[in-house]
Amino acid sequence: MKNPETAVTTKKKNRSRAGETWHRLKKNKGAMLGLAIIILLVLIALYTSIFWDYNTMIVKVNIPERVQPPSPVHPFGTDDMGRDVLIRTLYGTRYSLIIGFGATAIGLIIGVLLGAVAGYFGGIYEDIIMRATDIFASIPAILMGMVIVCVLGASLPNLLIAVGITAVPAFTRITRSMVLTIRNQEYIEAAKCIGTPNLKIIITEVIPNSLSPIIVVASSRIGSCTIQAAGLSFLGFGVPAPAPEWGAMISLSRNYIRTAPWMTLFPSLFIIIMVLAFNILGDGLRDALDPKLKR
Amino acid sequence: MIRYIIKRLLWLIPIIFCVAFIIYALIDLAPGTILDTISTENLSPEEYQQLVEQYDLDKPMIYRYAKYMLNLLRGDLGRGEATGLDVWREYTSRFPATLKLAIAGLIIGVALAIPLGIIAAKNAGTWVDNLVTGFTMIGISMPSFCLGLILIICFSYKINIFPAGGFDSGIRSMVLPAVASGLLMAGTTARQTRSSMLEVMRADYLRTARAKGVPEKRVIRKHALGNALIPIITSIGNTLAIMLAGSAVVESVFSWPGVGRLTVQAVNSRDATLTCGCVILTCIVFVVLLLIVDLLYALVDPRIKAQYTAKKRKGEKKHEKS
Repeated sequence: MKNPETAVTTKKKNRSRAGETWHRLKKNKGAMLGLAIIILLVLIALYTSIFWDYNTMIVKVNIPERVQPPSPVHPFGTDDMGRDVLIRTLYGTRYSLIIGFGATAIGLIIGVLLGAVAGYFGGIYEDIIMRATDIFASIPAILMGMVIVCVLGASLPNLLIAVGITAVPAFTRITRSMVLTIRNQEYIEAAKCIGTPNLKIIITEVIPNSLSPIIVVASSRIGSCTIQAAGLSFLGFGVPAPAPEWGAMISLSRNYIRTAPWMTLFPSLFIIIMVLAFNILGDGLRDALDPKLKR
Repeated sequence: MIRYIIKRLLWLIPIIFCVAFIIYALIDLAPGTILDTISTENLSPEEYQQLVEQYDLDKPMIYRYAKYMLNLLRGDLGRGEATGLDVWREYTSRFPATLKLAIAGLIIGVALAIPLGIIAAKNAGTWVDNLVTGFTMIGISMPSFCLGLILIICFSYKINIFPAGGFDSGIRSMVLPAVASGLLMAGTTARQTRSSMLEVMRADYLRTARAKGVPEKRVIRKHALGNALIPIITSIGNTLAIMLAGSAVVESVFSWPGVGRLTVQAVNSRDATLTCGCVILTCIVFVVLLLIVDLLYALVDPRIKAQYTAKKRKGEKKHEKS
């Protein structure tokens, strides 16, 4: 496949692989917009986590102001406990970001290691890992997530684990198929000849050289992990009640959907914007990493 | 071909065993038992003990699992612990609702997605393409419950045309859930249609077809779409499988009495038998659906059909990756 030598083409400047990708990504306006939104969301999450007090601003009940429509004081209205929906929605950014990145990272680490081992060693390891992956992948993700959260208890870390585990098979499969194509390359053989231990070959040679499709899968997974986690929270298998996780907020708002639609609309809008940003960035990244795929 | 189907169906057996074990063990590990769901406050200690024995809660998990699997081998999925109803009957009575919803969603999705994808591919790079790509991007970025609730707000409360949920008002109550799942499907399928059409568009045989004077409409419909169809079918099949299996969310938004909601209820009441039954049956639906998608390839593409027969001649080793 593409090793660094071929990726750095004969341009005026000799850019590194990452530099080249970044250069192509910069030309893609959509991807840049997505990146800008994500950076903005990260900043919001950091700001709200540092400067806003969870107990007084986020979960404190304020009955006199309950279920107010949007107004200059409360631009997104207030919820059934009189809490400001805007403040809660902004604060909720952190949960979705943590879940999106964290769950993908869990899936990525486990999946890539399993896939690399399966592809590199082959034989019995490959059989066991791939059959297990098949079995695992045949359990629908949302059901698996529900059961795992049910076992571990509803909380943020457990939701992360549940969503992360369901993301493993995709990474295992793509890594294995990539490793199969590079397993017999000469530089792997060379590394074996000079006596490099297998584990080191996997980490320093095999994984870096199969990285770009993995990055593509990862970037599209962040969005779907966010959706899945929000869905689980919506069903009640997620971050427990007073915390302003978007899915959980929407779930609570359902009882008031007729009288107070703003309680549903604004968190929904934020979920959609976040996932959209991840997805267009992911698309751009795919185009940038693989120029051959470009339209 | 038949050998391949049988092989794939046989592969279901270990899947069922493992899935049953995983789910059964997980539910068993979960804090709380079925006795927390059934009210046990007014029971005397003897009656309580009787319940414990009835559900074998005093025995290790592996005993209950073995018992469950023995029954499963006889084709008996057991009775729901909380409801006391036969799991198979409960599931099959709920399944038509889920299937109906999935098929309605499929029709809406495909009817929307394929024309959109073709239009985008034909006008690649223009504003039309950008518009369609943007629309499909929003489609894949929208969680089904957000879309569902927004539809409810718009069409049940602001303008009262469709009911917000339930099953009672016939076809009218199906419109919103079907649109919600259909639009989501349309997103993925339209993207797939666009990209695989783009790939085919450059092919030499299209130029040949145009050169010999085939009308443009026919070029697109027959020559281009025909060849681009395989990845589109995969995408539709996968999405349909996910729709059937992951119906829990849409079904709870619209209080649709399908299997997804049944599963949510089962997990919530810590009912291992019912959960296990639901998950196993859903897995079977999922796997069989993926198998059907695989077989559809052969129907669509004579090259793949030839491959099946050629491999049969050689003997073995087919479809390692699937």
